[in-house]
Amino acid sequence: MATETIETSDSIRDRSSGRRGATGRRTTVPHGLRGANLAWYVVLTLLSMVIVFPLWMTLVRAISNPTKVLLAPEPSLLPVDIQWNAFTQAFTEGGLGRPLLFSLLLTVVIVSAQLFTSLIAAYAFAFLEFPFKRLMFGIVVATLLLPVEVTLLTNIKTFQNLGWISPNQDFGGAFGSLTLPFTAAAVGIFLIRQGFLGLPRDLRDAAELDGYGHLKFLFKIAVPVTRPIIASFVLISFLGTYNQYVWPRQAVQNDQYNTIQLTLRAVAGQRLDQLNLPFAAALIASVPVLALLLIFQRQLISGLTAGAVKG
Amino acid sequence: MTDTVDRHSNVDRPGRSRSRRVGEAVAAVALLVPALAIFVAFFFWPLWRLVHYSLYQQNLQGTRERWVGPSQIVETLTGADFRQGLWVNVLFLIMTVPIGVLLGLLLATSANRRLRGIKIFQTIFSSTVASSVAVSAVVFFTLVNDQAGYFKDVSWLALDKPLSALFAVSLSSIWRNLGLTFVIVLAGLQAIPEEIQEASVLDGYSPIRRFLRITVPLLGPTLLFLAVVLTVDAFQAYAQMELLTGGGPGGATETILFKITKLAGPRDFGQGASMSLGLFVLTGLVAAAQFSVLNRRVHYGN
Amino acid sequence: MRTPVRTLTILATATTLGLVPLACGNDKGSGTADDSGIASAAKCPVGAFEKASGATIIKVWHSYVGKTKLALDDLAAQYNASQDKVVVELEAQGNSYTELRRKFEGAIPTKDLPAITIAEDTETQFMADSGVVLPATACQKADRDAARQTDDILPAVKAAYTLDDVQYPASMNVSTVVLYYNKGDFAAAGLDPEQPPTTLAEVRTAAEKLKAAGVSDKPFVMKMDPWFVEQWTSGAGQTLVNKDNGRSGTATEGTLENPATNGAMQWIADMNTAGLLNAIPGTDGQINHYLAMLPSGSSSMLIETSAAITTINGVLQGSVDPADLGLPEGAPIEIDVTGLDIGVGLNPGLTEPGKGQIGGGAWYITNTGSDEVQSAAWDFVKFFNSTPSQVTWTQDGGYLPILDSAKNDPTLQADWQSSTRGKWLATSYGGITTLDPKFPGALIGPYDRFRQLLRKGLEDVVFTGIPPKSAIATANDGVTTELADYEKNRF
Repeated sequence: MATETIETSDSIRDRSSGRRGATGRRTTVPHGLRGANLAWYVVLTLLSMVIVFPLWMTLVRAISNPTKVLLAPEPSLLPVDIQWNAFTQAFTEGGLGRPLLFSLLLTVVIVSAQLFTSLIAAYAFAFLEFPFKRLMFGIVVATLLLPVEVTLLTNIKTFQNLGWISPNQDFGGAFGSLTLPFTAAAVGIFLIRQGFLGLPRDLRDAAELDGYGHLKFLFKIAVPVTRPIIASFVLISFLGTYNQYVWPRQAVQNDQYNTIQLTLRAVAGQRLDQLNLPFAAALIASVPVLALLLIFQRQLISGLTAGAVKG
Repeated sequence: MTDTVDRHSNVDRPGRSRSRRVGEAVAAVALLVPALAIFVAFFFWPLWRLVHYSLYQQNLQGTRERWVGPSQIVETLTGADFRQGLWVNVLFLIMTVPIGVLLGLLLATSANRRLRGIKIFQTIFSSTVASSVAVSAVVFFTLVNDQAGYFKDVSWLALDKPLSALFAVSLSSIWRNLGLTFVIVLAGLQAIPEEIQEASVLDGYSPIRRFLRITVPLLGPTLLFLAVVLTVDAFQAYAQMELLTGGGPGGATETILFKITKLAGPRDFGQGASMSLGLFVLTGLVAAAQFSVLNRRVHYGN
Repeated sequence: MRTPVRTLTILATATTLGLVPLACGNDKGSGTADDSGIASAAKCPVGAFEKASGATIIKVWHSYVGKTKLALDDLAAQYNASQDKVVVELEAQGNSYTELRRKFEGAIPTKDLPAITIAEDTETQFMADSGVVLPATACQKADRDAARQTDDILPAVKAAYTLDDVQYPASMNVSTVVLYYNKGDFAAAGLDPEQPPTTLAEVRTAAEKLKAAGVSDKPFVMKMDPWFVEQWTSGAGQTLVNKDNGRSGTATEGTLENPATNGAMQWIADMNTAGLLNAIPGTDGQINHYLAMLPSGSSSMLIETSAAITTINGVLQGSVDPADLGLPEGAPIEIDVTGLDIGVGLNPGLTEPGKGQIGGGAWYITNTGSDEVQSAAWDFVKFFNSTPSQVTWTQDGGYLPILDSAKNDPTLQADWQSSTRGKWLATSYGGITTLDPKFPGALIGPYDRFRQLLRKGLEDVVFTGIPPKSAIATANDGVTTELADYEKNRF
């Protein structure tokens, strides 16, 4: 760690009026040690380039003329004969529009459902007393042992028997089989319960005295106060759901109802003469979550790291 | 995930009438039923059915089944196919977890300093959080595809040799997880109290010694947590193989999950169910490790 | 968190205890008696759809991509426009026969099947055993006019798809293996660009010259698809399984340990060790073997299905629109924008070229739909088998004409003599006319397993360096086991 943090009067003054960095901690502009700083800038830039390089290549392939790329004897780092039509073609020929909307719809529905079921379950665990409470909580915990991959086959069979999964599946069947298993999430129950447990006792007592019932307390008091944790959960839930691949891959048998991630696979295998499409599609598919990351960086990160740091 | 004291519990409150207790229990049931119903329907009951299906064999058309007993489970889990899948998962784990943790450490320590514009670097480092498995596979296609990829002539990424194909796929996962590992380790770093850092500086520790003797041990729990997260991710590997290598060459990149998806037809359902049970046991072991790790952390004086 | 762990123990014990009742399991026999039926007694309700009040909608499942898919789209549109009693809905079910097969197999128990499914040539035995197929013979018996339509079908093709005197599929798409080679590269290496190699030995010589001249690094590219090994084996008159390739009875053993298969695998191994082979893993949806023929790739010779002709031709044309050249839509463009100058030759064989077995796919009508649906399906197939449709299918779809009337069509013949893709198709056609109707290919129930085993053997030889003889032995043992397992699954 290069910067010295000895408390001089200078740094104390800086600290009290310091700026805040990405993770909320105050930063001060270091004085001196320019050489070391420069070195770190170089390191950081190199690391950034390594991380961005694959994305750069994807962009290059997306905007290069596909025939020229195929014919080039050696793959190049720079775009060849730039053309931007791959991005529109991804929608017109690759049919990206429908899956994109479908994925967004599914994500919104699933996240809302998870939020709702987690809120009420967390409320029960945090504020209520009832028999078998520990056992029930154990059941919730136990679901972490059962990721969707383990019960993949039998869950598919369940929906096949219902007629929701079949090559002839209709919108209802596809929608139902893609959403139903994910309408509850143990992670949500944990996080929100944690948040609720942090509420001061007096708050609850006061509400009771004012005649607040369970739901009223939940939605009018508990939720607004624990908004940061809830926001974090919503974000990681969104991320996880939008990026899902394994379950949709098995559940969707009618190509009309492909999610955006499945469409990437479909586009990648199709047209030999249009090798710029899959890369444009991948970039387009990343836009929603990238936007979320940029706008809600802090909450998203705190959601992802909940559990990493004791606290 | 700490279990704080149930400070909202009403158990010890005097004067809690019986009707009130019943009222609470009823409310609790109503509030828990949605989540629990989903868990039972899509987690526990299918697990039960897995046991059933792994004991039966189906006919060609999938219209009848007959009992074959535990021998099917035993044969499947000791058979060459499952063993190969398990081996692939283990190799994949070895290829992705240590490197992932190290890279996360590298990124986080580099970006955890007070420089102007550090926020931009932090955003770039965390950006791969946004990429899904499918996206990262397509992205890496531009690099590792052996006919048209940028690194097509790099032998240790060649997609037609078993080990290098797996390594190429691992790279796509490592890259995808960089954002997550960075964010987690950074949080861990920033949770280290400044006083400890300052004290060690005052004690005359050199930066390297500070890092190795103070920072890394204090990061222990965080790095362990990260390792568990990456391990769980490694056991769920499927999409990246399907998109980059199709499981090839010769099944060398077929993970257990990959094999399970191929055994979904009526003829193979019994074996698929048996393998799913095997995966369950493996996942259970990892989760048990996770619990014990977190348990231990709760008791760390901090 | 001690509590959850304890709870988990409880749950685990409960699950284990719950296994006890399962131990007293019994045969859960449901379903009807053996429903494969007697094929020749199946009834084809010809014309039923005409009596229906509205239009009958039929679904057709396929897995075509590229130009072939576009050709099928075209034909379906033509049919729909030509009458209003039947509406054909095409549904692409994945990019490969394997995916389509998996979906079909998964749908059989639900009986929710399409009116027509297009299955790979290897699935003949399985489709017959599945009990959900309406054999074409039944419809040919009930509809004499239509039967005459296919009287001039190539004998080898008919023989390939007939079991116990019953022809199951109502139409077939036949393709064969051809050699695609880069004429420019040949010239640069001092080889005659108009004389492609005709035997495996000649391929080797050509490859050595190409490599020595520095023209291509691994001159011969091949996807590790077991189909090629089958073609070489069958082409040499050897069987893949016993009981006369499964035609005189249900096969019980693999017969892969024969001189032809050994010879072919050994040749592949030798090419590989000499650095002349660009081996591409045989995974689904693979396109790398095509990419290898490009300047950025390292090869000059490729063996692949003749069905790729129209797509490859399309790639060579780049994204040039016929309208730009003042040509009508869909007209062949005789410009090679890529400058690759590809030629097509017969599949080089062990001893002579162009020998092999019938390949491609076949159209099966299912019997789970209503009478209207089944009869409508038969009507669409009749349209498909008509000469104009078959000509379109050949020219744009890339499959070879199975009916003499189609082959002799003047438009087709003109195209075959003038355009690049036509000449390629003409060359490929030569490869199926010489096939012996008495030896059309194997009938294997678990053909998909057979191919998986053979592919594993191929890939083991090439990617792991296992000696061909032992790879074949392993594959053969696996085949015998799979044949036995398949019979066990028939209850």
